[in-house]
Amino acid sequence: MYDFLQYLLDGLAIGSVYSLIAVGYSLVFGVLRMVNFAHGEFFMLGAYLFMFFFNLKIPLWISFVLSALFVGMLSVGMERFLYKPLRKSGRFAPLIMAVGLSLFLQNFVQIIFSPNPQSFTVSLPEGIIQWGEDILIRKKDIYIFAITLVLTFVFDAFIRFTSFGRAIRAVSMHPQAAMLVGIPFNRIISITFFLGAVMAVVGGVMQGMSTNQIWPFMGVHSGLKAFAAAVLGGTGELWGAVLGGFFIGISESLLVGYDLSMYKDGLAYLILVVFLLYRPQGILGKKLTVKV
Amino acid sequence: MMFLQDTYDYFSLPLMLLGIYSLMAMGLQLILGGAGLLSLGHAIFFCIGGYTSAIISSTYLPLITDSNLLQLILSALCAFLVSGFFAFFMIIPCLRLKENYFAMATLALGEVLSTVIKNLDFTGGIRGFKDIPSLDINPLIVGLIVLIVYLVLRRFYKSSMGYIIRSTRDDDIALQSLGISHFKSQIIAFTLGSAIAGMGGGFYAHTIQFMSPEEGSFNRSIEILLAVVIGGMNSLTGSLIGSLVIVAIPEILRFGPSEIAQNRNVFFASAVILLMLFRPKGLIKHGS
Amino acid sequence: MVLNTPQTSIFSLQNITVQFGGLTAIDNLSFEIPTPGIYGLIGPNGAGKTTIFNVMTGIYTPQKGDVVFLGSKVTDLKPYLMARMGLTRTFQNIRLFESLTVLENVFIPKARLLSTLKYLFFIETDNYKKTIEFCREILNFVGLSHYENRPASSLPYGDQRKLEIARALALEPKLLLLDEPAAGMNPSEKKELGQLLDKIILKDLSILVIEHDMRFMMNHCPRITVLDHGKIISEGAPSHIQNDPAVIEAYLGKSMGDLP
Repeated sequence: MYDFLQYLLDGLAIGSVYSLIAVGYSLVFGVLRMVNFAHGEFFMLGAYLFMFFFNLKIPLWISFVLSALFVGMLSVGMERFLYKPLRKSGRFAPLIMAVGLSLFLQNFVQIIFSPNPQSFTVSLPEGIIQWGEDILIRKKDIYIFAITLVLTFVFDAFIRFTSFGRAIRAVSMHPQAAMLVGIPFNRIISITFFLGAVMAVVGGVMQGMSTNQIWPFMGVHSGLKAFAAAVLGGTGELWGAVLGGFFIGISESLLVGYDLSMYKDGLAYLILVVFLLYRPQGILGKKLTVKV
Repeated sequence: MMFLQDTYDYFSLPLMLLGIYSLMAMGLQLILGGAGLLSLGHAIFFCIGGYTSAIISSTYLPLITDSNLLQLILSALCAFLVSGFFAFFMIIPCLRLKENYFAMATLALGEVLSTVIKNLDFTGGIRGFKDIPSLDINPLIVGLIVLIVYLVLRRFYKSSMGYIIRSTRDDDIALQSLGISHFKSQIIAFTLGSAIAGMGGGFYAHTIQFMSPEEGSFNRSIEILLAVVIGGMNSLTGSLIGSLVIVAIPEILRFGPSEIAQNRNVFFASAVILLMLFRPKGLIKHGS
Repeated sequence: MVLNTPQTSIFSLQNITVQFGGLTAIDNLSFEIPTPGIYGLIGPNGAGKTTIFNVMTGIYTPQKGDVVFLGSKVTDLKPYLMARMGLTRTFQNIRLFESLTVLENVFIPKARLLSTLKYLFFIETDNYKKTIEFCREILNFVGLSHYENRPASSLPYGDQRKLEIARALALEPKLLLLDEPAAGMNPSEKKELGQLLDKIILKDLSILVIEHDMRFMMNHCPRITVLDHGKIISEGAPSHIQNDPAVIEAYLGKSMGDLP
């Protein structure tokens, strides 16, 4: 029983990272009905940029803000100049473009920094808290989980209470109607991309601080698993993405804990397939009706 | 004489790889450019075909015949059939998914199957399957098969099913109003295209004499996608050209400074990005 | 000479009710196409014309009532099976196979009946040749022969519509539904379209046209059905419905007005 709880708690931290990335997938899909395949790279770029700035002796918080800004603007630029022109270019052009971008970013980083894992010299506070007699929680994990939750609540408040947030929801529900009532469609898209990218950057920095290691392809699998989380929770739903991330993190942790770690990698993908086929709206999403 | 022999040996492997990639690319072209389905898990069929060939050539084929050539043909045939079998069962539930979702589902299924292969004993598990007999495979045989497949597919595109498949890509609603269900044509295109990739996998197994579960991961799928996109999604010949680009460039770059060799993926990725922006139809303009 | 027995009309909707959630789009409607000819279906926007089309082609299944085609009940039949029975349609936004040529577009309906395997092994290729000849005849009949090998998407708008109709004719249908065929056409294109309709009706074919262009309808449809709010409010020759107060009211409200 305590083992189970232990794995659960371990999984929350892993899942937090997925959650942060998943938010971006979910929101972008909500407003554009598009899967930004390259989203996982924002996670990776965030970690690398943070390290880059920090190594230039720039203070921690400023490094973070700079990375977030940079990656955020990159995402906006990508959308504006590379995705937007393709909206009408046939079915798969945006997705193939995203695949190309993804590859480009991974290999670009590989060239500039190195194909080998780099050390991430900033850490979250070390230390272990003991809970009861059998459960050990790393302080790092608490930080990650707490930060994720706080950010999610902030984001949720943003979506609910600000005009930008309302605009994002409007565009998600009905793009044409949103445009008709005067919502600046393109600007909302840009903002959505920006915010999603920033969340991914947080995830990347968290990951770096937790494992002290980053490498150019870290966004690949984490990104896809985060996509699975977004689908699981319901694309377009903020809390869905976050809860989906936790779910996948916990599931992976349980597999590892119960000695089934060889199946760990396939799990998220299995979840993705099952949901795509049998419940595409996810757990929190609403069934999409198509009018002929 | 020695020089010719050395030259042959040197080019032998890249030529065979070129042939194998061509098979995979032609298969994906049929699926993507033909039926209009984006299969991001294409490599899993390559992998399944490779393992099929590995397993039967190690155990069963020597019992049937002594001739290496015959074994090779049977091996390729089995790889083709087994991959096609898997493809058939995978595509059926996926057909009702819309384009983006379909692509992600194929990607995910590929990863799931890859994980399964990693965990099976008779496939050698995570360490892979080694000591696969080469069965005297050589570029001529592979090249011949590539040529045959190419010619058959060309003719196939001009047949009734070929046209129906292409019209499925264009407008499946109109197709329904004309009495044709697009499901059948999509299933045929996907199964056939994946089976061809599986055959390529079989040849790969005999060429490299080693098969690993990583061959089914989406890295390989994306490589093939690059080849098809660069050559032109709508063109069968384009997939050959794309394969040539994907295989030849690294070989050529081998002679250059090592930094450039590492950069090749950046070039491919850049090529795809630019192509999508300016020439979504690829390097070859008109259709097959 | 085809003789329809008195009970068997080409097509009929019998007491059809179609509901979307709480909204009743079609309310206990009965409609018949008794003999080959051109029929018109008009009505204000939202009257239910497209819904009727969708029921007829099998896209929607009515909650109540029956759909009868050539004497058989086809209420539940899927669209592609309806097409195989001989009911086909064109679309408001022309749906051509853009990457295929004009001739290839017309070929598609017939392609289903040709064997791929035989073609691959070079057996009985005569069938292909005969089919292509048939398609060429259709192109000739509608007047598109000179475009034969051009990409379908390169045709002028009016000719694209003709091609869509030609493709539908290749199916050798018994009933052809045209969804706003004249939409987006200039007067000369409309004239050509009208001539085409008059021409193809000679082929023992029934045509049902939805249109908003009144003049077009009056000129080409000997019988017109008027729909409003999911019910038939008038039916008959153009002159009849033109003067029917119910029709005038539906289009113009309760004021007096002229219909063209």
